[in-house]
This record gives sequence, C-alpha cells and structure tokens, in this order.
Amino acid sequence: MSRSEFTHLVPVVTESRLARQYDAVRARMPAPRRRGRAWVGWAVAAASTLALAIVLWRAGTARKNNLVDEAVLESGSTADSMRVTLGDGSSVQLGAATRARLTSAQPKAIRIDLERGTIEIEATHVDGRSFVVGAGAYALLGRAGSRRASRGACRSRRGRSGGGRRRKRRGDTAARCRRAMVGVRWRPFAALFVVTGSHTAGRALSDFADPSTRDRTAPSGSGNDDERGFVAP
Amino acid sequence: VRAFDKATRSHAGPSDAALVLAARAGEAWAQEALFRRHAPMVNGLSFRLMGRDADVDDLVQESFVTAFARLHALDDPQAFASWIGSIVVRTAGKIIRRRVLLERLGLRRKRDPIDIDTLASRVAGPDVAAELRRLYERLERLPAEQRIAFLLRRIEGMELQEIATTTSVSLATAKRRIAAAQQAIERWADRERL
Repeated sequence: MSRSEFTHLVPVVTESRLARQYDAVRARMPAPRRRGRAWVGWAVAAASTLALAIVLWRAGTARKNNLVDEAVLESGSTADSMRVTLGDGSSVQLGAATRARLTSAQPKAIRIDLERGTIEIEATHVDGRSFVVGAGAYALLGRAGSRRASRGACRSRRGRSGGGRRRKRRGDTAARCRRAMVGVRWRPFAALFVVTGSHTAGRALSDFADPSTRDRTAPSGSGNDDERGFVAP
Repeated sequence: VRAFDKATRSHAGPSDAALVLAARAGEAWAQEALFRRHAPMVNGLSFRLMGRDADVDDLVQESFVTAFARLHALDDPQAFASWIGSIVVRTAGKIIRRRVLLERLGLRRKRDPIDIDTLASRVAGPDVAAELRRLYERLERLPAEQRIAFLLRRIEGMELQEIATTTSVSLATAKRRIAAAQQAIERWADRERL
C-alpha cells in the first residue's frame, strides 16, 4: 500500500465542528491572566493602603495635638520668669504672674493667646506655618517669608531698639530681625524672628477687648508707638 | 516537522510566533487564531492516529488544552505546528494505552469494528477503502507505541529522527518499533493469504 493512498484518510472537519471543539477547549482552559490589567489591582491596593495610613496618621496626630491645644501656661507671682520651648524650637517666656493659652499647636498653625502678664516669644520660622500671638482683640501674625533663614539667635528686647528693621550690617544676624508688638500685623522674612508683646492685665486688656478703641494694625514706627497700650505704665 | 508545517504555510496573517507570544500574554483571540490555524492539521493527524472519527474530538481538545497550558514551555514560538503535533502524538499514545488497559480489566467494552465509511473519504475507491480497513484492523492489535511509530513513518511520512523526537525516544527505539510493527503487519497479511 503506497503512501498516496493514505491521502484518503481525511476527517470531515466542518466549521461547526471546529467551533464545538474550540468551545470545549476554552471551557477547560483557566481564565487567561491579563498582565496589562494586573497593575490596576496593585495600584488600587497601594492607594487604599496609603489612604488608610494617612487617615491613621492624621487621627493619631490629631489626638496628640488635642492634648496640647488649649493648654494653659501660667507663671507664678514671683519675679522669676518661666520659659517653655515648643517642639519646633520656638520658645515662650512668661513674665511674672502671666497666663497664656496655647490655643492651637497644629503643625501648620500655632496660636498663643495672652490673657494676662507679659510674654516674650521667640518663634522659629517654618515654611507654610503661621504663628499668631493674640492678646484680646489684637493678633500679631507671623507668616512664612521667601528669604533664606538667618543663622544664630535673633532676639530683640522690648524698649531696646524700638520697632522697624534694623540697619543691616555684614555679619550682623540681628539685622535681619525685626521687633514687632502685639496688635501689629507683620510679615517676617527671616527664619527666626522675635515677637515681643507685653502688656499688663488691667488697662491694656480692657483696651484690647474693644477693637474700636484701637487700631488693629498699629504702625511699627518708633518703639513708643509699637508699645502703645501694650506696655505696663 | 515538515509534514506538520505544510498545513500552515499557506495561511496569511500574523505568524505563529506572534500568535504564540500574544497567547502567552493572555490574549484569547490569539489562542483562538492558533486553534483555527492548526485545527485542520491536528484533526487529520488525530484521525489517522486513532482510526475512528469518534475519538478525534477528544484527542483534539486534549491536545490543545495541553498546548495552551504549557505554552510558556515552547522554546521556539514559530515551531508551534510541530510542537502541537508532538503533543497530539503523545496524547494519542496515552489515550490508546488507557483504553487498552481498561478493556483488559473489563472496565470498558471492546471497541466497535472500524467503520471504513467514516475512515476513508468518499473519493477513495472500494479497493483502497478495503485496504485501509484491513490495515487499521491490524494496527488495532499493535501496541500503542508501535502503532504510532508506524503511522508516523508510513502515513505521515516523517523521518526517523523526527519520529524519535516526537515520541521522545531514541532513534534506535523508533527504528525498532517501526520494524516490529512492519513485521507484525506482514505476518498477519501472510496468514490471511494462506
């Protein structure tokens, strides 16, 4: 028997038979894994994990901040002052018989409200963070500037140099500082600035309580102007 | 390999390699294209190996399921035709051996005699049809290994080395199986003549 005779050995393969065979093959095959869409699942999982982590972190931060918010700083009646240093390096020095409330200690907003006495604040500059010191109806605003941070301590004492910018000298870090008083809106351009606000309970507080009796944005000209109404008589 | 390749040479469209790569990536259309392209060849090979049209569908489906499941193991994607041909051969051997075992254990009834009307095409003459029927009746009595080796050699026209590769045996074993099948068929033919 020659091989050519085997050419008659051909099955009847119709389109319907092929379709039936392929349907059976496909039914027995596992679902194909689409590699192109695999990253979608991973992305969703990663995003969900990240969102959960952020929520948990913020919740934890909020709880932690809530413990500090509304904290009251109060010094005794003696002549010794009390100094409190915040986490960012800012320091709050309370004079004798002073009471201040740490109204907000959020990472983006710190606010300290002076209720009585004298307070001296040395605030560290943090980009995007506002530092507000309130006294009655007045508030001193410190916001992020665009200049490079100055180095070293920068401090200005009440009644020493008055308000306004000092004349800039080479190597004089204090030249980049300016003194501001409570009730004066001020935009510092240095990383480290000094906020000195002082008043005594009594007349000054009564003045603050009524904004109509005082300009909310007192000029920062001479030292006497700055301290008008803020300095104990 | 040459015999298997004939079925795909005239096909247009993406190459086998491209379809294999797409099927590996999970593209269902590529799997179907591979099936459509090679199903006629696989059906014909299955038909000649099994000798019964009723057995063809099972063998074709089993072969393609195995091929698609092991597609990542194909080293040369362009050689899909010869690769699935070897899968058909191995799967046919398994099916034949399993059926023989079940029949000997009495768990499966003896197969019906080969119906030549379904085996040979209608254009074949009566003498050719009768010869084919006698040949397959003799092949039915052969062990699966000898039967497959003989069919690949005499019907599919494969070279000895190709047969050895396809059936995963040595060249000497392939020769010995073909020779044994040939002797058995000639012996039965001599008895019938007497």
